[in-house]
Amino acid sequence: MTRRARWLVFGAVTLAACGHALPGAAPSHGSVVSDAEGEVERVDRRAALAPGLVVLVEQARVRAIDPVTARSHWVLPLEVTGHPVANATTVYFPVRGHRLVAVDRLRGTVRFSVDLPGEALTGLDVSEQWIVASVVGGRKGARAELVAMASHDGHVRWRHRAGQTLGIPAVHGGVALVPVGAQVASFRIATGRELARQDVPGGAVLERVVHHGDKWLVGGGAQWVELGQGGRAHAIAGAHAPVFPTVDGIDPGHDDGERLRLWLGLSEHAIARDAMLLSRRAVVAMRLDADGRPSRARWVHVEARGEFVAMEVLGDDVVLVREDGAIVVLRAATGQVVDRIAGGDPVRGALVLGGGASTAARRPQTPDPIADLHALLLDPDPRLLPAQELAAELLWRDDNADVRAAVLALSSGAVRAEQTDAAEALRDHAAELTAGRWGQGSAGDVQAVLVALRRRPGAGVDGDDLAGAIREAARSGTPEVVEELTALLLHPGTRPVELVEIVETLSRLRDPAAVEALATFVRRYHADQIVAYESTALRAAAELLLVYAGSEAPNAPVAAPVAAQAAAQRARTVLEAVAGDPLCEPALRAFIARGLHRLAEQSPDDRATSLLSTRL
Amino acid sequence: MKRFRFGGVVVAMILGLGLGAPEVRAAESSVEDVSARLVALYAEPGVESAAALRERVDAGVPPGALLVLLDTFRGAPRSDLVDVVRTLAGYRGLEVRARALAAWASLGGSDALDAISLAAKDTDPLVRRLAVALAALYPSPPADEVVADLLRRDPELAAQLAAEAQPLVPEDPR
Repeated sequence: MTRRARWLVFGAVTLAACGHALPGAAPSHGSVVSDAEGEVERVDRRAALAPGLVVLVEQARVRAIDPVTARSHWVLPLEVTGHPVANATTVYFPVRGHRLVAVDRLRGTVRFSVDLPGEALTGLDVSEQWIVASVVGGRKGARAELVAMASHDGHVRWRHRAGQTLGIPAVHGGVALVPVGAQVASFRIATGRELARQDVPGGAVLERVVHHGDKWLVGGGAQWVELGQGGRAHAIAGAHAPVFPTVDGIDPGHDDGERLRLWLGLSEHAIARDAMLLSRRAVVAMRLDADGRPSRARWVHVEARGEFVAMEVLGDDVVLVREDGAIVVLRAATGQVVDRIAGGDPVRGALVLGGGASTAARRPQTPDPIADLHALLLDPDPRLLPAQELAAELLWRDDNADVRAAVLALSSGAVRAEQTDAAEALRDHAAELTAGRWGQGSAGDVQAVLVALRRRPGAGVDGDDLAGAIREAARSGTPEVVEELTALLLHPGTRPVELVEIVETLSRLRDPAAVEALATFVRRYHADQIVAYESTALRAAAELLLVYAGSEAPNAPVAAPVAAQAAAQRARTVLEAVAGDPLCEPALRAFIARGLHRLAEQSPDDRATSLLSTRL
Repeated sequence: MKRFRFGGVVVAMILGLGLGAPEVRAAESSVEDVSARLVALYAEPGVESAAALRERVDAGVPPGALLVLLDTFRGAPRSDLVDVVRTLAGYRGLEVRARALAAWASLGGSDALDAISLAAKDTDPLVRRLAVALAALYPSPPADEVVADLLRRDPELAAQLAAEAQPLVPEDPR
């Protein structure tokens, strides 16, 4: 075949492809992943050598900064309206007037400027040779179009009309993938031919396709599906920010919503193992459990002033861009600040391109995420609320009850008692958390503890593992655990050693629901010397009641929850009655009387202070 | 006659258990005051006195006074105060628990069966043995089943009871 004939065939195929309209819901066919794997694009070697660059999007101009030298590479007067994208050589800016401007990444020279098809941009992606865009509106009354353009000149190579708004596409390895309704369709990028189409379970919220590592993911909100894995869906439970933000058909550009974003570190099976929440001034890095729930904080970074407008994880570093254009580089493993570049003019957003993040070695610091989470909770800045809600969740998932006590202090209003919407929302969130599972144990672990605790002592019942189950309940459990512990406290067959464990565990859990049983225990046996002498449980129970009685602060700025108030009142009433009984075991009576005397001497302010210092 | 003999066994067991009760010292002589008050409240019929009795017991009473109250209950059972003895059947102290179970069973019928069932599940072998005695004192087919089940689960108790049932054989003087 001659060169001319080859061009004729190519033209015919291209024209045929251009006439194709994308159906909203077509039968699924082919495999989007295997077709994608079969196509290997010639990758420009310059991609690997491209320098790092942070492109700051300001109000009416863009500025490219070298994140290592802090040198400004170039500045262009572009009014960017959408999210820019880049390959190894070029940065592509959607600008006012529904145009696309291509800028040389190194020199900042404009390579071309073209009108975008359609009426508004939904989303863009770029490979070394291709730009693929989904747009709203199009030819012949189409509601949307998928358009492929050459990356070197911006000429449209093919386009498909669609009867419905499309999601944000992705292009890689010779194929382009785009969400179409509840499906994902793949196209050969060179010809525009539809290669495959796949139904996505729960696909009503598909916002965009991304190519990550060697995986294709499609998602929306906090859910995503790895394509080619039988439709296995993943989600972040109770996410405080979207992983795949909603675009509603039109790319809104860099807006306020970008200051709240969740970054995921995916395992080889597309399961989220690590995550980072960007919440305006704060970044919280955490580990996720198998259910996608936050399980442990890795580090916390809170910026003293200014919000972050962009975050990108590049290798070992996290690059953050502040609203004043400052660039902060953190070590991804520890959160240690490894570099800071001063800002200047305000920026709306940024595109962080890999290769140049400073990785200058510094002495590694050991992060103390628990202390940082506590400090984050106490920050009155209302903009930190999403990060603070996550901090409370991470603290509540800790196995150490002393760490979790901060969340109890929050829920009871012992801390963050100010009357603001953010503080109230945070307290409500803490109260919601304290009504659910605590610790790192899975639902199965907690169930096993409950089963062990529900076996009441009796003839022929082996209770050897009871003490272990009681201790385990302090690490991981649910409020049901407290019910079982209090039932065991009042059970006549519970051994003295187990009584001690129970009271100790209840002391760690600090659940007001335990007060009634503790009060019954102390009242019932305060005049029984045998019970008083068989273990330290009776005295420890009285001590715990004193703690509850001391948490009653009549003139606290925020009223404690009704249950906590009632518990405090009940504890005090019972202790006073017991201390007033001349038949009470003498040592116990003296101990309670001393405790009540100390409480009476403390002012409510003193009590609040001591709570703050012991809990946080 | 058999009924009275088992009754005697129950009383002896309870008195035997009571030996372990804490000795009331001179400084604690007001235990008798508490006992007297409980007995007086018990003797007075009516809702108010019953409520006052419950309140006093709930406030915590020395075991000695509880034993007096439970003996009074056994002497003249009152079904309207069954909740008091039921609560005391869950008392940690063995003597109070055993006497409360016996007092509860003295109401007969389903209360006796409930008391026997609870005694049969007790962690203490003496209380489980009491279940057998109470089942003989307040016999019923369900109570027999509870005892049969208990003896299956507790072979040691079954062996003890079997040994006690053996007639004494005089030694051969030769």
